[in-house]
Amino acid sequence: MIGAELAAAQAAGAFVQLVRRGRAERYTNGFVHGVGADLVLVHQFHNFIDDGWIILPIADVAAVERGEREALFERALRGEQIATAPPPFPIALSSFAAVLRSIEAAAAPLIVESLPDPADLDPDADPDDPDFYLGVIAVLGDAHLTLDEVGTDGEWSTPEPIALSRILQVQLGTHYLRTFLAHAAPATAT
Amino acid sequence: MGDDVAMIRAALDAARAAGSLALLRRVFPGEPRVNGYVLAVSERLALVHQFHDFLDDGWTVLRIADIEEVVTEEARGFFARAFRERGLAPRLPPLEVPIATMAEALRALRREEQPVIVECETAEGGDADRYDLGAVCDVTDLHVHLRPVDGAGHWVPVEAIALGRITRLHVATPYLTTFLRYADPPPEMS
Repeated sequence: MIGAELAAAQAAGAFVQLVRRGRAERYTNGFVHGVGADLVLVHQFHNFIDDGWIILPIADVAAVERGEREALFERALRGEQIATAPPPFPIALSSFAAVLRSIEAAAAPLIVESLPDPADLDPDADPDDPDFYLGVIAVLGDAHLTLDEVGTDGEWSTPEPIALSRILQVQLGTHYLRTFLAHAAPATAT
Repeated sequence: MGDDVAMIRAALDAARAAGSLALLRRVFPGEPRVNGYVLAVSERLALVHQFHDFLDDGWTVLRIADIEEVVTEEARGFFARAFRERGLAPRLPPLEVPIATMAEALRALRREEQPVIVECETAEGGDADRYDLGAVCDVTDLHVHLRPVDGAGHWVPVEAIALGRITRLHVATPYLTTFLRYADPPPEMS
């Protein structure tokens, strides 16, 4: 049902609001650029700002809204001469592993959010608060992803591998990602 | 509690005096962090030039009692440097925003015919939070009478919002400005 609505939104080229399940940011706004069996690719906008692309599970979408509000946003984006576009390279949507292989092939930086591994969880941490990684893919295996990650100090490191099964969403080309990397230490520092 | 508020107020004032980029951690799950430059501090409120993902996001008036922690520039070396390199310096709002009380701030916005976003946030977050964008019609001792614009850009009848429930105002944000450019024309204000 949701998958069909997303596919219809893609076919119509319509600006939509995805109501998310169980996330602090309750809405993802933008244009659908691909629908797989389990994943959807959205060119997202935050407050009329082009905010790159997000790949998220269709199961995380509670509703696809397309009404007067979304029509106003679409009109405003046109008025501001902000156009939607697909990502700069093709992204296979059959699984997060396929998504990551596409991103690895393009050597593109990305943001990965994943469920914390209970074994590594800080006792004071919220188990529902996702782990957040920003960097580039170092090693992509069948079950795990290792990133060269930039921390909040702007320095590169290599954290523990992330289980592909725990990935919640992947983003690329966001304003934050581009700006953060522009000011981080050179990647050769790893 | 009073001591905590006094400590937070002192930290805000120190950030203001130093012109430091500050991260304000708040008690509300909907928007737990505010990033920016503290421009003014009163007994109960702070005025902050805020940024979202390295983008200038206008000005916000916040209740000091809702702030749990003020993280300042020394602890945010990378971000402070990135802000400097991008020329993201503190700026004053386009009008004087007095912040002795929320009522005073809202009266100034009414005088200057400046639209505003009024937030009434809660510890539960989600649907329990209230968010209104509109024009200030009147401010009494207990309420602001706001003519809101709905998400579809239509002006709706004036609503009274209890001043004691207001946790935050947003002034001259790019979202507010762009949204109103594409909303219905404002009605005659009495």
